[in-house]
Amino acid sequence: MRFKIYRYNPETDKKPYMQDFVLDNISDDMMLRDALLLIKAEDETFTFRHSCGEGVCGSDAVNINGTNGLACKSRLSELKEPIEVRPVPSMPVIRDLVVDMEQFYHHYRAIKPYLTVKDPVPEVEFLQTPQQREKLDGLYECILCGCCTTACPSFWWNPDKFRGPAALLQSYRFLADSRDQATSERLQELDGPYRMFRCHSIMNCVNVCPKGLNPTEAIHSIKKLMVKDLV
Amino acid sequence: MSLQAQGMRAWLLQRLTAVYIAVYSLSLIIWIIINYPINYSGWYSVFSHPVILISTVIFYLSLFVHAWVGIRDILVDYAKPSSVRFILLTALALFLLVMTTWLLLIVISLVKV
Repeated sequence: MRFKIYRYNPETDKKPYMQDFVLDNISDDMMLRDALLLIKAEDETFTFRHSCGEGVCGSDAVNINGTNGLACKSRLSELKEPIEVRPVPSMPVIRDLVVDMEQFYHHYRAIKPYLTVKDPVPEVEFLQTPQQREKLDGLYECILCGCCTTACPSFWWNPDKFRGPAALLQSYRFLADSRDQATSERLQELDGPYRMFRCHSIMNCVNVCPKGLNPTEAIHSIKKLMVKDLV
Repeated sequence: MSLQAQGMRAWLLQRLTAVYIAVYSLSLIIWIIINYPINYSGWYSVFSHPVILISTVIFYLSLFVHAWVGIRDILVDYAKPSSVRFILLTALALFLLVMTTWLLLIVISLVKV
């Protein structure tokens, strides 16, 4: 099986380049992450992030044949050869497939990804009805791998100002939570031309999300909340 | 409505004007199909009727607002240097102002006669 891997070591390389690898011992049930590990065994200077290997940690988001995805959840037999692996687009490359995610986390921190409660906190626990809990389905599963945000053209054009689909989905995760009491502050923070309204429903985020989530729908729900807040 | 409409307000204006533009255009197309062929006097009498005239003026104003918000969105995304963006936005605003003035002149001429 043939691979084209993006290589860049800022200490020795002037420019990034694509390196070819050929692996023979590929079985049907292997994922791209397994192949990257074999490549690393062949060439130990090759660097990429990975951890759990089962789509839970969100470490190994890479660009596979032009589409963002998790290496550990991409079956080799379903990919077209040569398999081209690059770092996720628009992020500063630290080395090979490893990118600097600081911008992404900055936006995540900015949406205050925690419950804000103003009433006195209950002595034992917060109670939620099954219906209230159901509203968080399709939102809480996000693993912050960054596939969606780095596939979003609006984020490419305005990475410093647009929050990106991942952060906005998380924002709605807290807006939709019956226990959170900071709705109007959250909505106010997202108003303005850039933070949320750079989203033009391109839906690249929905296409690439390895967890099958729908950030575009979440963004639309935030807009609906804003209209409700206005009226 | 001000040229300052940003974020939420701009988005809402875009949506509302879109609905009005769609409804007006569809009704106009249907009207043309039903009454085809239409001669000058037919056109004239329909478009000087106050209700049609007012809804037409609202249509054009909606179109201008819609164009302002939409093209500004594109410029904010793609015209990065602020000088270029400023020049293009000014040109757009001037163009829309000229169109509005023209629209008003037409309305005045229709009302007078």
